[in-house]
Amino acid sequence: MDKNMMKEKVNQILADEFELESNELIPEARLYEDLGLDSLDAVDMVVGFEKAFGIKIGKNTELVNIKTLGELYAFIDKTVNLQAG
Amino acid sequence: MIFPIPARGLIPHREGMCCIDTILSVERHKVQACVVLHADHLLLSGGRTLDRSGFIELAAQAACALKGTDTDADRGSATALLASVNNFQIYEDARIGETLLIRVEITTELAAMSLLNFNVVCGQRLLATGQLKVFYRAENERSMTAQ
Repeated sequence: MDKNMMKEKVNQILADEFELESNELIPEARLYEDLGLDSLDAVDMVVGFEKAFGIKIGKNTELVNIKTLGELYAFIDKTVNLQAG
Repeated sequence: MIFPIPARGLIPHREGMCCIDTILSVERHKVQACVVLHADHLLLSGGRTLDRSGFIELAAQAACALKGTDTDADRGSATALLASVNNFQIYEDARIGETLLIRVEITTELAAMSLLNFNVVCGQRLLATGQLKVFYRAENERSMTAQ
């Protein structure tokens, strides 16, 4: 999947699920401090990403350590590519 | 582990607070438990029907049993801290004397957090459904924290 499309999809999920504004969704944004997400929201994110990208994140603990939206894009990109292969 | 087994051995709830009787089966991400609503059941609150929020407690306790049998994690019984409830629907009340079947299934996991769907039935009657977000903490983690 094209990286820009992937980013748009991630942003759409975050905007829909957590009522975030598109101007907040920049790669430098910190998920918890800047976007106001918490560990409960992280579970909902997983559900949204698994459904939207057809991937299985499951017990992958890498996601727990992600701090910024840019890191989240990279994680989704890597997971999609790994599982597509 | 051979089922059915008493729930008390698998969940951290002690006498009086244990609201489910028996664990009927456990698969990797699914558990089935049951309870008979005797007159002295905690969640009847002295009435003839189960307190409606009691459906959530039944599901949460069954969810504990699910991790209590997680031998891969070698954790023994686990505390399931209920973080949130979504899409909770009650279709019918549960009445005194009835036997309820509680089915809980993990749909998503992220580290210690799990998302679970549950339903409660009595015979062919669907009584309640919902979704729980649960934080699992193993008994040995709690002991270490207390030291």
